Amino acid sequence: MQFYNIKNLAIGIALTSVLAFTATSCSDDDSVTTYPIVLNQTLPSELPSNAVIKSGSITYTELNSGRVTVFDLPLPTESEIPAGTYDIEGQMTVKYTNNEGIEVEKTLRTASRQVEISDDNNTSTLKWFFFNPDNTLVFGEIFFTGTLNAKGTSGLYDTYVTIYNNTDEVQYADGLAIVESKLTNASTDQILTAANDPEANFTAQAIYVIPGSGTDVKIEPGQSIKLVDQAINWGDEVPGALNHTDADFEWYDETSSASIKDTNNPSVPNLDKWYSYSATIWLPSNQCNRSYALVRFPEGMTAEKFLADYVGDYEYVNSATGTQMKGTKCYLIKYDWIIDGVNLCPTEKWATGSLSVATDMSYAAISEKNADKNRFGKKFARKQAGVSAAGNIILMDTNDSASDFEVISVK
Amino acid sequence: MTHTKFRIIFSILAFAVIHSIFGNTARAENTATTDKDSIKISNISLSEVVVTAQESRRPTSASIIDTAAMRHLQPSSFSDLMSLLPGGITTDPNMAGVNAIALRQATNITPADDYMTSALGTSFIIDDVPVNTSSQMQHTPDSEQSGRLSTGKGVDMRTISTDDIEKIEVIRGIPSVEYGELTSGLVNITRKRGVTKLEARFKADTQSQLIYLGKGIKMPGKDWTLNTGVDYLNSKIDPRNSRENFKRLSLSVRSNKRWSNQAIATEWNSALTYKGSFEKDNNDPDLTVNNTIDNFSTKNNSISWNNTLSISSMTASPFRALNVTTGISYTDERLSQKKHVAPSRILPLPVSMTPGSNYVAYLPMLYLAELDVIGKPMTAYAKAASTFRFMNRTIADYIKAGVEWSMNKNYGAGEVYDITRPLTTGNNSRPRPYSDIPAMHQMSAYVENDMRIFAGNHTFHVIAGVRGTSLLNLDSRYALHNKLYFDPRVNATWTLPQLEAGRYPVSWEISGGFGWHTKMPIAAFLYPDKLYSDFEQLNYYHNNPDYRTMNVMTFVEDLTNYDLKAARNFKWEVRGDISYRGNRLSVTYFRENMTDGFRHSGDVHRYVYRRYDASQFDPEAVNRAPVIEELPYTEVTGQYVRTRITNGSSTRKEGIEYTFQSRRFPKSHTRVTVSGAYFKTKNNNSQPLWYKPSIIVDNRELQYIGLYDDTDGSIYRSFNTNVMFDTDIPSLNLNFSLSIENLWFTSRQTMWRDGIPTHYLDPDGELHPYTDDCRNNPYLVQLIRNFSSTAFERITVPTETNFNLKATKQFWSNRIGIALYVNRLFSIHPDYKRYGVTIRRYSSPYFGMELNFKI
Repeated sequence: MQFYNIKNLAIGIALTSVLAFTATSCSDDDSVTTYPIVLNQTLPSELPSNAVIKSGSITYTELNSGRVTVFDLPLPTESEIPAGTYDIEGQMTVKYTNNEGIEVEKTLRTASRQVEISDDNNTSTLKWFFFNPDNTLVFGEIFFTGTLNAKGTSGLYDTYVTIYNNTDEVQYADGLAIVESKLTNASTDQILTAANDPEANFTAQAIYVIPGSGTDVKIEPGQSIKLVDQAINWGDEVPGALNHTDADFEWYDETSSASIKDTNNPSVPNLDKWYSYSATIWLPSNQCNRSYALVRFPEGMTAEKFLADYVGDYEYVNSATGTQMKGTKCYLIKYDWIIDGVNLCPTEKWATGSLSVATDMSYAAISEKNADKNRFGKKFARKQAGVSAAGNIILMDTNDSASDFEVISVK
Repeated sequence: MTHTKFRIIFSILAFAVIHSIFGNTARAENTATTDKDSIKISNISLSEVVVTAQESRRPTSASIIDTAAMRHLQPSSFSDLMSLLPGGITTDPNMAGVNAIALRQATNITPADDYMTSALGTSFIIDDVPVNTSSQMQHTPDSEQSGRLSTGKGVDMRTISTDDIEKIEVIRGIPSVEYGELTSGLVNITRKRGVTKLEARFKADTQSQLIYLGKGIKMPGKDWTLNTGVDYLNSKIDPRNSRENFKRLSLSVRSNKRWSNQAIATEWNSALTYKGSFEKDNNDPDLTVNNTIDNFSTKNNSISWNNTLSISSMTASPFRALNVTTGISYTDERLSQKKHVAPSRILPLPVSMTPGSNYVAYLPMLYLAELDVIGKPMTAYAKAASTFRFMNRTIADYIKAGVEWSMNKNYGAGEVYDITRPLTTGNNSRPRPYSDIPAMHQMSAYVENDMRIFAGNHTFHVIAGVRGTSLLNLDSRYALHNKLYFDPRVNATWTLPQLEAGRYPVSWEISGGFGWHTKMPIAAFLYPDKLYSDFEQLNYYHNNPDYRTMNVMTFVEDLTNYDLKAARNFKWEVRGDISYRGNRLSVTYFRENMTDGFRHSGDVHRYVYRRYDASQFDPEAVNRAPVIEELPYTEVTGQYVRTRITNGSSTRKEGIEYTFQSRRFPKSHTRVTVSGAYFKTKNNNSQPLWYKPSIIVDNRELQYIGLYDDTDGSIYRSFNTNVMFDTDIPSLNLNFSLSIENLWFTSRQTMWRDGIPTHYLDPDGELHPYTDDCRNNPYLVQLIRNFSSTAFERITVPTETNFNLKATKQFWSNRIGIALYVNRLFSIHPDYKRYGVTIRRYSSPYFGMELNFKI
């Protein structure tokens, strides 16, 4: 099939579907109304017109029943689906001949959340994007719950995150930022300001930058660096807690207000603090319901310039009260700058990702229940995808955190 | 009404009047000033049972609650009686927190510490002696428990039992200048006097049990009685949890002795009262992971001795009465908390009591914190009040004058704890004995003219007076030093000529009044704790414990606001009152304006300290931790907003209160009472506000601070109507009532603010106007506070209706009585929508019953 045909896929399906709809209006088995699938698809503009679909599928997951329906691509003309609320995910491989005359294969992905299929609407809007994970530096492990404290009530701040070199070449982490999302992934608030739409920009509330002039922070292939909150031997304080005296960096928050909350280890360098919502200390979400990104700012970006040019006020509709609110300030991160991102959220609270679906199609869950006490002492660890030619472990990075990460004990 | 007629009625109701003269002093005063009022009340029926609050006949708006109303209501504490006031609604007892009074206030206001001046400024007087809460200092840094402490909130009504009370007068309007130290109103409590049978009361409701025993005994000799009462309440906040409860024990012995001859009647009242309240909230260690504990308790034991000597003239001389009242009270208050504290991170622990550079240690990761707060407030009170009368054919003029002195001092040791093991991490206070605070003395004097003019068929009753108050024993730096406050107050009633309708008279009255009211700041406001701020100068948490060190600059700041003034409330009201055949309608419109209520407001403080650089220091080389003297440093200036007490709260109240009471319809023995109110309360900050966004920009906390002149406040409204049908069948000794409480709506509206500062302070402490250009500055733009347009919309909760049932029945010639009540037996709380979201409301009944003996 020529790509020309793909472009007309939507129209074709729409037309045939309308015919099918008038002919069969609804199927009669079990009196469940089914509707013809109408796809309103957008393809990346970079995709040349000679591209053809090699293989692919679209998966409809009905959220109330959990029913999963898979359709192969190209979609048969008479595909139908029962009414319901769906998460739709799709993947396809396309083939085309590039400008140099070489035939290439590319993977495209799409995801669309909470799509209503009903009398009023049976159109699914799908925006396809190139699936091209930047597998240079990735989050290796994320431990934000902390080891259980001495009272057994909450987590300690022996929290850390590792940045792993997923290549066979030396990588440098200088200038790399770790960014926490402004929005929680448990929020069903509706963002009204276009610039803060998760698909447009990543909204940040804390930005910590690894210092260095370009080649100071070297990460060998298959190795990682560890960033911690307090670089101390927690095991000395609470039995079973972690030792972070070997950390590569700590985020030290000089609290110049009256009550001091942080320690500063002279042998562990501090991260540069470009921005934080909090005047005291940055505590990454202990409930693990925010998103995190590794960000490589463009050449020449400084804290001052970033803070001046990328501020974003936004308005949203509070889902609990239905009122329209102005959000507090946040800063906008361009997706071009993000080299890895992960959505975190307990399963029962998951609403929507703070990262674009291209950056993370899904999310990693620390627990099923929200604020589950059993989450303490557990970390997210990226699964192993295999071993490289050079013998380094390759971590799985398919921009789909649900399958890339597993939750295991921190020990 | 002519003078002659007045005299005739006087003699017909001689019994009532003599009773008043020989009654307690409060009654004697009533007689002295309001002979006519006594007559009017008597006019209705002396034996009539009224189970609701009655609107007073005095020229200002007041509600009178007597024993019959209390017996019918079956209260556990004084708080329950508040539902009887116009605008009051029945609520379940809340014994797990302070029950502060809220007169003439919209019902949906959640009490906030910055708007407690109305509660603090409601004076409670028990048998002529005011309850003085000025040296109440109890405090805990534990925010989960601080709601149980009444410091700065006035009288905690859950600690007042109702069983020894004969009569309560709640003056919502403008009290006589005889009463001071108030802004909002007055609660005048008169306890039982005279010979009674042995009375016993056993009450149980969903949360609590109450036992009362009381008796009035005739003592040897003439005209001497002794009343005793003991009352015990045990209240569990959640009946399933025995670890959290509130207990109250009250005990009193009250003596009344009278002497009289042809010229002088003398009465001496003496009362010795013990009051204890005990509160506890302990966790269950078996339910915690490591058997950690979290225990809280308060034990307050108070003893007071009050005396009143009244001398009343029995002749027609101008001198009518002289009352001398003294009161002395002492309370032993102990709060103790024991709590395992487990910080989730290594926290530096500054403990220095002195300013300057200090090295500090670190908090352990698990410790048992113990806090004892010992308060020993002592109060003394003395008052001399006199009444003179001048009369002729058209004028009856009473002149009252008096002086009042009160003193309070807290002898307690204050917060006692180990500062290395604080109850809350990040503690920035240090122990200080309350006994260091000087005694507060207050002196007041008043003079009042209470005049009735009988002009044909019209009667004018004008009460006008002025009260002067000053705080003594204050340091000269205080603005209040030698400052005298004058409270002029005027109340007047115009009684119109009676009309006749269907052979029955219609009585009309129009009243009005205005006045200023002053409440002095309490000791906790005048003598605040010092603020200890510690800024880190060197933070060196080395991997080798021997090389670790931390240095801070400690600042000790006196947060005393020497400019603090008294809170003053200006009130005015007009009232119409119409009576016909035992039916009465009374409607009051009022306004109150207090712009200088007490609150915590921010102030900018600047701190200069050093930041030492230990990056070049090699501890291994010298085998020790660095010391600041050997390190290079940079000087750092920080500016922060710190709060202290000011006169920055404004409370404006406005509303209409109405009460209609029908006569008891003879066949059905039923009376209908309709009462309610529309209240509008506006609480806001009356002073410009400093605000510093708490964010970090480029490694440093934002050092710009904005000054905003838009007010931070809310407008609350509520409107209710309570309809009560009460049936009293004397032949069956049965009394029951159905009350239908309609809360038509409550609403809340945040006052509009644009969130844009008028000025800002730059890091050098210079004040600049905030211009449009500032919005382009990455730092200054942070000062704009965002509010959505809908944030200022009025949020209305629509109508709800509750049906409450109460019944009392006496047996055996009134020797045994049983009573029960069910609140919200039925309720109608329709769902409503707010911005398209359906809000459902639920309610469940609350009930109780009791057994009474009179033997």
